[in-house]
Amino acid sequence: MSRDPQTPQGYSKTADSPYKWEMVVDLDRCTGCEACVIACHAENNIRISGEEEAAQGRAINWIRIERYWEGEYPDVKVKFLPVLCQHCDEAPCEPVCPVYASYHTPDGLNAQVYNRCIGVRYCGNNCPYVARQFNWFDPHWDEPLAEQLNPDVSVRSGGVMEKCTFCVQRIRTGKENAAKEGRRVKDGEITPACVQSCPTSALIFGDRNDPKSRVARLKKSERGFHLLEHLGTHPSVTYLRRLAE
Amino acid sequence: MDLHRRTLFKILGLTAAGSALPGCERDVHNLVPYLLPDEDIVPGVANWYATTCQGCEAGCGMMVRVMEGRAKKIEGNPRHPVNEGKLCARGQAALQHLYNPDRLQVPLRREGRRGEGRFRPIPWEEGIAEWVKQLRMETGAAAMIARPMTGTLTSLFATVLDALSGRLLLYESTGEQTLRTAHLRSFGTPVLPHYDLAHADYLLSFGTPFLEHWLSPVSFGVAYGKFRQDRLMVRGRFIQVEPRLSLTAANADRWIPVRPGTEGLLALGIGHVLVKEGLTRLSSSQLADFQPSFSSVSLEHISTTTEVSQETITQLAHEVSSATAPLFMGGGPAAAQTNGTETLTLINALNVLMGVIDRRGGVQWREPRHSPLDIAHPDLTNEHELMDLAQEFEQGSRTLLHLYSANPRFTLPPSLKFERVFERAKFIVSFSPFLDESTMMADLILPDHDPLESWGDRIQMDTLPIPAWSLSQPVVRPLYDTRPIGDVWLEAAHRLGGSLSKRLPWTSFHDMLQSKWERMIGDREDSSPTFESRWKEALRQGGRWSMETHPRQISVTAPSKEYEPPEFLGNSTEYPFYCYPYPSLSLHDGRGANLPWLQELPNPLTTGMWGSWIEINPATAQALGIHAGDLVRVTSDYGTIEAHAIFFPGLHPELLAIPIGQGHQAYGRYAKGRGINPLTLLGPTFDRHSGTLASGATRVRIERVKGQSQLVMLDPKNHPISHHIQETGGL
Amino acid sequence: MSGRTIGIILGLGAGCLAMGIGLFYSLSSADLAVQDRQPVPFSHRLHAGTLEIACQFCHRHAKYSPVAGVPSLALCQTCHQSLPQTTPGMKVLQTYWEQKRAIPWIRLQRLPDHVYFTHEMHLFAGLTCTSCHGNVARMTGTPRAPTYEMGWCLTCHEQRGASHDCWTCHK
Repeated sequence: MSRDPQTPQGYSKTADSPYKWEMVVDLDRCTGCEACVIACHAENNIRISGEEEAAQGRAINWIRIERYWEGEYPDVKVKFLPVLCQHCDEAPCEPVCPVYASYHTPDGLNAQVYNRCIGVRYCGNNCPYVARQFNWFDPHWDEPLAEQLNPDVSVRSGGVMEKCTFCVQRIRTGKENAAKEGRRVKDGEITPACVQSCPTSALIFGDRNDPKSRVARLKKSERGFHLLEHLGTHPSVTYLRRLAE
Repeated sequence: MDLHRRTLFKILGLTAAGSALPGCERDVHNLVPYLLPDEDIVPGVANWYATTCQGCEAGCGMMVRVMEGRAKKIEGNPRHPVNEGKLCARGQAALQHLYNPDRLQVPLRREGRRGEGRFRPIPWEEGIAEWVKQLRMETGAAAMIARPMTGTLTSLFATVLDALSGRLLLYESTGEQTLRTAHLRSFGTPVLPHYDLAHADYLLSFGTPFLEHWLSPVSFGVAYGKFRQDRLMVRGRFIQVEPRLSLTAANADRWIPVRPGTEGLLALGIGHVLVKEGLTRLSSSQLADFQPSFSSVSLEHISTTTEVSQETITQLAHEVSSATAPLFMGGGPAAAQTNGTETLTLINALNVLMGVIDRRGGVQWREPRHSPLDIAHPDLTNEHELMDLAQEFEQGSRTLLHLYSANPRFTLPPSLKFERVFERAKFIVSFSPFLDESTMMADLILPDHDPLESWGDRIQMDTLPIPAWSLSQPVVRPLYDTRPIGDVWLEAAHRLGGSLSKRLPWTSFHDMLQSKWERMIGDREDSSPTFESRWKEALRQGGRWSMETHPRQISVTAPSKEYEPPEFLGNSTEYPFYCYPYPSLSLHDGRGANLPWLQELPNPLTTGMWGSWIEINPATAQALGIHAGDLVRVTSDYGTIEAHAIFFPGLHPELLAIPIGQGHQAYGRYAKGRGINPLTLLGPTFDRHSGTLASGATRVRIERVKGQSQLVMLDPKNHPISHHIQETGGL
Repeated sequence: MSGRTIGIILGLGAGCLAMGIGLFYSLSSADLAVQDRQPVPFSHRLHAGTLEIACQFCHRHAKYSPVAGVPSLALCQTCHQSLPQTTPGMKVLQTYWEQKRAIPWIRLQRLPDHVYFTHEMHLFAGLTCTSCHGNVARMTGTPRAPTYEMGWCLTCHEQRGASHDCWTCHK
């Protein structure tokens, strides 16, 4: 897949940011416990869909644990795969947005600007990872559940596409703190909610431009691979293969 | 800090909605400043408070993010020795417990018949007066069933109930009583040791769901990550033995299915090979005690019974002997049989044979050098004792039932006839925060604060590398007209008067807590001079755990020479299947069912959510003409359930597995009337030594029935990634 | 009626409709309707102008929070408790204090939920309060919010070389 190297606004993708955010998912550590899923829901004001909407496939998860059965009894294996927005360098969702709501930030994040989104869902259809999810309805929280909502994250209304942001609100805070002290963001200073919660530390987040960062070192691991690599999307999420017998 | 927090609550009490809340319809036009300035509170800037999770027995340390008086997010406390900054799904969902729309908001008194569910709000004064009147009338006849707990609140309950000749029963269906009994027999102590998984290089686990809900799942999760990938040259190897491939087994390098109830026999077989081939790490004198238990067995018999080949048994023994730091753990389904204790003592014996007791990467008991306190750490109750209690209520020697965050009407199988207690009790008082099945039967409800609104502490001696005393503090102002249960009990004690009142001189539970802690941390050699500053430091940190410890004295005993086979209720012709109801990852024993986040959390193995299902081996199902998604009926001598059939490839062909947690008839809008409770199927059969319910020991049959069945699933089979996996041959 | 007349009428109608919508929009975004009905008749001209009290003496969170904050009643009282109650406004203030009630100020400066804005970083960048809020020291009534529209923000961001990546300000 090739496309115009310039995003519609005319910013080059690597322009004016010293950072390039990357996540590493170590499948040899991931146990499928789903602590990350609740962490994401709590942090990002993800709606509660309820049984009926969930039955129509309209439940929203920015991160989900996919599981794959292999073999037959008694030689059965299960593999877990946490899937979230891959923040592709060549994101298929970006060029199809008619209103530039889906675009690439200078930090290499694949962003969705909710107030621009008009809900045509082209981006969602074009995402091979099914990482983008559409709000078919306005969100609703039975009172007083909404007291928990995070003021740092918008509540998405009906008709808007939403997706994982790598917890951009935390990235923003981290960058501000660094700016105030006149330094770069330190490795491990910014942790998206899923990364923070993961009991086994299967998720690692950092700046791949910093050669000493954990992600920069881990992504070079011989266990590393990208999801649907052959599509040429150049994801910012590197998976580390689970070791088998 | 304490002072500020109190002022904060006062201030917030005087102010209306704070600055802008998110949400499209929540435009706030008023800007209400605080009446008094509080240097702890800056609008728009989050405060983090340390407290302790009460979701399960593990007691993880939590940090709660609070903005303008509202709790926004819960994360693990990075300084806490249990969870090192991490937290499971259920712990994080505690926010929806606090802000649950179905919380009880005021004291209630029953109207109409008991159990009808009609209540009338009453003032606190009336509620407490009524309760105290009952306590006076029914002297010597009170009983309290509460969730497992330790610490100051437990001392308070114990003191009051002692004075009234009452009984305090701490009950949880997943309380691992069998394991404690086994440890008492093997090691002479019921205290659960620290399993040092992080430093082991070989784990042979017999059913322990340690990545799901066993003992301290977050702590095990942290250790598991280290076990696999934190060491330069070592990647720990992990084998799981159990009849159903659990989430924990899914992570093993090898899953070995066994016939239900024969896990102990397999351990015996492995021990036999180790002893016979001289692979143990015991001196010959130590070995002499153990030899008789392991010598007179036939591998052939073991192999036929367990369905594990002789080669596999020998191979496992050889793998164990070549490991530097092997570790054995037993629990979960292995403990859920009539021979549960027996099975676990055999697994304990393997740890002894391989010399890993009190070793790095092995099984360790540590206790504080100076025994800290007089704070209660009572034993947990098992189902057998609860049946004794039911007997007492039937005979009329107990008449007054207290309930606190325990829901026996849901977590006990109906076949135990515990319902008698609720029918016979003259008066039932509940302090639970929700109208669950048991509280529904109450005559008087005096609802407690949410844990995030409460003071409390917790003394943890089990499963930790070092003992920890954790603190809970209120992180938000109470939302409703509820009262801390500790305050209510102190008030009652004062009204009862006499020596009880003198023994409990405190006016609030907070004062009682502080005075207990004053004794605990007051006389320590410390750089901070005053108790006040140490108390603040403890609150900031979430508790106290930097103490000197030494290994606990244990006395090792060999397992019995006669192996006890498991026994099952129901004959195998009429009921050809084993049945194992297992605690759900998200809903646990059912307590999580009222939280929408947890209801909507897809089960990692089946991807089911918002409902119940019955897992069946696909080949078995085919033979019975059952298709995936059919409505099926499972029947035992004790009950019947109907639910959606799910093909579960990792299941013994003669086993049906069903998650526990759904099937509530009360407990709020998210839980009520959803799915089925598989405990209905279970008969009154117990582990022989511990008296714990043998939840895997009732046989059942299954059949397809007419009718629609629906289960919401997040199945990835249509996702392109699955094609990618097929194309590239795996992950 | 000729086609031309119909065209004119339609055109006028469309224009009126557009004006109406525009007015409606500006009303809702700038709180014009409620701007002068503050519970206490507070004057920035007196406090910030005549008395030369620094903005951040009262709006004290601006330097380290996204929110500048409204002063607590206790802060007002640090000066007012020693002043005679000469004006009706001061009496109102005193009543709130005696009744231990917080003043429910009408919020005039509002941003939509999809905007992230932080006072802290704008002050850090060297902006002064007046850059965005105008010279409040000359305003008697509570100053009306300028129309905080995206173009207005972007102009300044562009001039000062600040980021104009969408996610800098949209959340």
